[in-house]
Amino acid sequence: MEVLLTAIAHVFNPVSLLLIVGGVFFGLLLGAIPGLTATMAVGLIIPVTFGLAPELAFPLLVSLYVGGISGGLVSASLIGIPGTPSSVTTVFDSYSMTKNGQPGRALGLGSAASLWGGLASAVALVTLAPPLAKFALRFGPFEFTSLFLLTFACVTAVTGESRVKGYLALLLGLFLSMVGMDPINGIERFTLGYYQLSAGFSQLPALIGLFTLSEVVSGAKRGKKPTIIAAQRFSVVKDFIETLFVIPKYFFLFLRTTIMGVAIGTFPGIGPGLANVLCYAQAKAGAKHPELFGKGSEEGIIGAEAGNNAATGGALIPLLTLVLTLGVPGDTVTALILGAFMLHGIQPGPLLFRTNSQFVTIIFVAFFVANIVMWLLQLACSKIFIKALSTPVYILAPVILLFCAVGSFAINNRVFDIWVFVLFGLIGLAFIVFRVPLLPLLMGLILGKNFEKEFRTALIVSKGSLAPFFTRPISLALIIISVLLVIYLTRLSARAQKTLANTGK
Amino acid sequence: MTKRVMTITVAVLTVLLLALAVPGGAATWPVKPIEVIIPYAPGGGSDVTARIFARYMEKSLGQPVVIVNIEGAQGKIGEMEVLNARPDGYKILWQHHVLHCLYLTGVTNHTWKDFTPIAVGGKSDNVVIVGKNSPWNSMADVVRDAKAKPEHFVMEFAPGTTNHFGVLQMLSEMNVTMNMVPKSGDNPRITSLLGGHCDITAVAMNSAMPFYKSGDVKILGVMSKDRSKWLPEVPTLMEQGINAELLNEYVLYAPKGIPSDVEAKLRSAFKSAMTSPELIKEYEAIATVANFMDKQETIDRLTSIFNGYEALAKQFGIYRK
Repeated sequence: MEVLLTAIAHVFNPVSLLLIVGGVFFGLLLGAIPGLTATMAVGLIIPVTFGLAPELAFPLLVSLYVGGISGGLVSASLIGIPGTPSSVTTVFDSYSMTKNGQPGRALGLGSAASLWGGLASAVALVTLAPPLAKFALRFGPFEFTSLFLLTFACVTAVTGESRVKGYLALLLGLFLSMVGMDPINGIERFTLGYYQLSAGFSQLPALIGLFTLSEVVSGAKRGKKPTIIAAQRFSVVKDFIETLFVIPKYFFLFLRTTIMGVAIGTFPGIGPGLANVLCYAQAKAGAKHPELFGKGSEEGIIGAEAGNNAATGGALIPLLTLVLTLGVPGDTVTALILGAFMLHGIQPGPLLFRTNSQFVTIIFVAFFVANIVMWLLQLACSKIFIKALSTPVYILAPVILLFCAVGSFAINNRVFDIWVFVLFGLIGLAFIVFRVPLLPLLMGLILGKNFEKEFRTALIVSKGSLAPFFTRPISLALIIISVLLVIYLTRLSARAQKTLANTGK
Repeated sequence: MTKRVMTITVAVLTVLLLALAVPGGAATWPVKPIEVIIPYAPGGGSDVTARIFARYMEKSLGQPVVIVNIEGAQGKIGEMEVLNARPDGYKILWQHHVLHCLYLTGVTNHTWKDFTPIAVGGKSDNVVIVGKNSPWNSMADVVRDAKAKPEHFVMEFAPGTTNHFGVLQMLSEMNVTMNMVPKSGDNPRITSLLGGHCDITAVAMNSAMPFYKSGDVKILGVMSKDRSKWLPEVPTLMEQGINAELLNEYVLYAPKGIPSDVEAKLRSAFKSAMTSPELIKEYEAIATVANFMDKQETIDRLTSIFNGYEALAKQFGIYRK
């Protein structure tokens, strides 16, 4: 208790509070600009933190992280471009809601879900961290392979368009993930002689390419008309306050999503996109109105956003807890924060809790406060964000493209990645023209390499036998869930289509 | 009057611009920031050691020394970036001996001879670890059980790296076989060990230390010639009759063909950084030894390491040249 009170005193000291507000704001800003990410926000600020005491530096970094992840919501909701893999499914419903003329509500719902998801995960971080970390340790190559299978099953099920096209897109994504060195023997495949491809396609340029170029081109088709009809008068404050209390209406959905988000975030080294997709899929499977998913469903937004923010807390667990890993950070941002620990001379690891519990508590409290600051700043800024949408397309589109190109470069300091961005932009355009869903392609590309690595490692361990996938309980459970989920979601979408047909839409 | 002022201003600006545009002679080198390419993600051993010496090199060079992380393909992409860089000394590489492994296993087509080696810098140790519940307490225990059950125990290693070579050498000296499971990254292997998915592995001492101190892993041996200063209680593999070694030794490289005076300036700045007492202290805090080697010493060292690895690669059938 004394530790907690001291930590609260530390965090609420004016300098520290100022840094948290500044950190969240900067993170939000970078996250909101498509092409710039939370990773970049943290990367830019780490050198600045050298001059700060660790008690100030880490709250700042955590705020940047929270702000950056939530900032992705802004571009996802308002211009339909997910800034990071963690807000891919957010686009489906948020952007639809914006196009229906309710940008304030879309932002409000997303922020509220992020706030509650973030707070819940902060609590989970304190209470559940050790048992969760222990559970995550039980995941070996067999379990991970089955978890990836589950994700792939969900991906094709949530897209809601032609299933055959969904599977084709997934397969293409898996194929593209094979470009570069294979994860087991280090032999290069399909690089066409470009050494820059020996590590495969960079994920972020591919992601923003897929979504941005197609969105910009369709924006250009609209010509001078702004993206949304912002003419109706709406009160952002009213939207935000209202949506803050919409969450209790969906309490069980929210609870399920948050638990899932935290749990998935705990698994070391698993992409954040996985949390977003799995949470969205379960939200749809349990929804009262699954047919509304993808058309501006409140449940969809909550599922996606509560999930990814819960995962941010989850991703910090491996970084901070007693038993687990450190250094197999949940995502790229926590990887950077881990580096910052070392640079500040703090050895992260199982001993951190015992030797530095005061310091860890400060990080927890800062994480909590940063989530609240995030909501307030979203509220304060969204009017400006929404106003920015009335910028004519011929100004907005080039600016977005420029930022995306800069962002693609900055990820790994390579010009080559700008070309990757352009290439995937063209693929995305082709997919839109032929009405093929983008999400399966993206997930295949992002998760493919890990899937291959875990699957092949599993086969090496079992000396070629597939039996352990079915004899190990966690793995078996995951496989059964994926089969059931696919059957259920297939019937669901068939029913939804029938309903739509009946209503004559 | 104003016209004359403008003419003079334009002339001065032109001269200034020209002076900046023409690459300064070696006498003025460096005139702009120097980039140190780290072929790995931020936060690892390569990154942290470089960020420390960069601060000391800045002082003697009078220009910022910037760390740029270009990761991918086990270090190949960062290496290529420097290999193909203009040889002006503004882009240099901080890489350990995995450079030879990448060449020998067919990942890259360049050796250390395609660079200008500036100097060998820091080094740190590797250790062999098992989980806290493992029945093994010494390498002799491992040899006994592994002989009884060939190909049975799961040994995780980082494929195609110095770790791979070191582990192969160790097993061949022990005259045992294990179920070899590839897994890159020290921390993923430690996680695997804690979760019981692997029986034994080798990692950098720095990575193992927190888990060793907390009692989650046991260290069976240090993979160096001498005992480690930070682990005086743990015997080396050689003391336990296993003639195998695995060192993380970092080398600073510049592109081939840089002017010899730039090379000399880089080397002396690096030397004054590496021999400064403050840096030595900072390195010790992360269990790294700052072992600067002169030009000839560096070349001898690289030659002998390369030849040793080449023989190992051929012996174990992973030679792809």
